[in-house]
Amino acid sequence: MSKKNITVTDIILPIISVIIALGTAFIFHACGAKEDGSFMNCHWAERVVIGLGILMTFLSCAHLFTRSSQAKMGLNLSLAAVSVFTALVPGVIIKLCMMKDMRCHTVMRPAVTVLCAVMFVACIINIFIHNKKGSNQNVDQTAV
Amino acid sequence: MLTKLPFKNLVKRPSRSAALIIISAFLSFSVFGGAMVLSSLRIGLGSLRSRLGADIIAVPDKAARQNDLEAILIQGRPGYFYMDKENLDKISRIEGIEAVSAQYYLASLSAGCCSMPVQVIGFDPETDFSVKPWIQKSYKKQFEEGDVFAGANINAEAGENLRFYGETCKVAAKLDKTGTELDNAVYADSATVKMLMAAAKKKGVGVLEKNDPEKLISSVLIKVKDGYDVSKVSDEINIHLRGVTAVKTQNMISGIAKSLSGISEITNMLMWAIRALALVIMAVAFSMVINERKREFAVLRVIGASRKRLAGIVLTESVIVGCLGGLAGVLTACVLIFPFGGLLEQKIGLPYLVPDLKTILLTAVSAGLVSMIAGPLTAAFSAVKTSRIDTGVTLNSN
Repeated sequence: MSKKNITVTDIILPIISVIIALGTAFIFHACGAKEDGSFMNCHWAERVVIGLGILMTFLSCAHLFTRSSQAKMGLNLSLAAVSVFTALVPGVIIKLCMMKDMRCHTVMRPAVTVLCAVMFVACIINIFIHNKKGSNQNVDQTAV
Repeated sequence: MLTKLPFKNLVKRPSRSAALIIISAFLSFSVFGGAMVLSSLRIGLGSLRSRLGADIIAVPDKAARQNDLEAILIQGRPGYFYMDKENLDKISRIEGIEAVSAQYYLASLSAGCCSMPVQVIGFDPETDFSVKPWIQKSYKKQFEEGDVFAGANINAEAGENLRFYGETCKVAAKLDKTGTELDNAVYADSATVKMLMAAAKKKGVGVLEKNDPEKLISSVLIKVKDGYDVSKVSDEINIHLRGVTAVKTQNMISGIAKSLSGISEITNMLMWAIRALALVIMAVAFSMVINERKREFAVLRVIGASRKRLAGIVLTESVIVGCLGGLAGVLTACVLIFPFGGLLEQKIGLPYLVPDLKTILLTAVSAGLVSMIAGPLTAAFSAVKTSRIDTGVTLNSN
C-alpha cells in the first residue's frame, strides 16, 4: 500500500467509527432499564447505533487499506450515507423517551449527532481529496 | 509574489500553523462559550420570573419549610404536598388580591415509556393565568377530560397521545420552552387528574387515592392588585391562614439570582484567566516563531522586501491565524454548547434558556472579531522586531 495514498481524514474515519460503536455502548449510552427490568425505546435506538457503528468501522477500515481511488470514493460515499442514517436513528427513526431531560436526549442523541456530523464532513473532505488525486493520476497516465 | 507569501508560509508549515490556530481558537471558544452560557442562565432566570406569572405562591407550611416548591421549580424533583381546598376561598377574600388559581401536584410513577417520574400538575383552566399564556401550539380550543398541556421538554406534540398508568391522554397544547423544570411537567384539569388517579389505583398505586383533587390543592398562585404592596398581602395570608405559608416569588427568584451571580463570577474569572493565558501564549508563540525565521526574513530583505513589507507579512499571517482560530473556536463552542444544552442545564441546576438566533450570531461575530484582533495585537511586537532585523548580522551568524 502506498503511504502517499493515506490522508489524515483516512485515519480519522475508523477512529470516529470506533468511538461511535464503543462510545454508544459504554460512555454515552441510552437510559437504563425500567424498574420492572424492561427496556425503553431508546435502548433499541442505542443497539441500532452500535450496529451501525460496527458497520462504519468495517467500511472505514476497508477504506483505509484500499489502494484504488475509485474504490475509496465508493466507500466514502457509503460511509457518508450511513453516517447520515445513524444520526437520524435516535429521535427521528426510533423515538426516544418522553422526557427531554433524560439521558438518551441529553447525552446519547447529541453525542451521536455530533460524531456523525464530523464523520460526514470528514467523508466529504476525503471525497474531494481522492477525487483530486484520481484526476491527477489520470493526467499523469495520459501524459505518459 | 510577496502578497501570497503569508498564505504559503502557513500552508507549508502545517503543524506550526495548526498550533497557532488552536491557541487562537481557545480564545474565541472562551469568549463565545462563556458569553453563551452566562446569557442562557440570565435568560433562564428572567423566564422563570415571567413563567410563574404570580406575585405570591401559597403552599402548605411543611412544603415551605422543606423548600418543596423550589425543588419542583428548580430541581425538577416531583413533589406531593397538599392543603385543604377551603384555603383557596379564604385567600381570594383577602384584600388586594386580583386573581387566584389553585394547582394540584401529582407525580406519575411511570409515564408510558419512561422510567423517570413525570410531574403532573392539576390546574383550573377557568381561573388559570400562569399556564395558558405559555401555550405555543394548540391542537383544539376546548379542554376536555383526558386532555393535557405538555411542557416543552415532553417529547409529544399537540394532537399526540401520552400514556400515564395505562391511561391515554391527548396533548391539547404544547407549552413554550421556559428553561425551568416546569418544562418537564404535564398540566391537566381536575377531571383528568381524577381519571389518572383512578388509573393509578387500578395499577396498585394506592398512595395517590387518599388525596382527592376535589377537596385538596397543593398551591395557590396569587396575583396582587396594582397599588397594593405584595409584602403586606403576603403577610396578611401568613397571619390569617393557619398551616399555609405565602412565598413571594420575588424572594424565591432572588435566591436563584444569588446563586446565579456566584456562578457568573466564577465563570467570568475562569474565562478571563483562559483569555489572558491564550493572549500571553500567542504573544510568546509568535515571538518564538519569528525568532526561528530570522534568516528567512533576512533573505527576503536581501531580495528587496522593505521593512514595512516584512512587518506586513507577519501581521497578515497573524490575521489569518486569528480568523481561522476564531472560526474554529466558535464552531467548537457551538458543537459543545448547543447539542449538549440539556446536559449543561442539568449539571448547573439553574434555569437555562438558550438566547435567540440574532444574539447567538452577534456573540459569534464578536468572539470571532476578538480573536481576529488578538492575532495582530499579539504579533505586533514581533512584527516590529522583524522589521528591524540586521540582515548582515543575521545571515553571517550560525
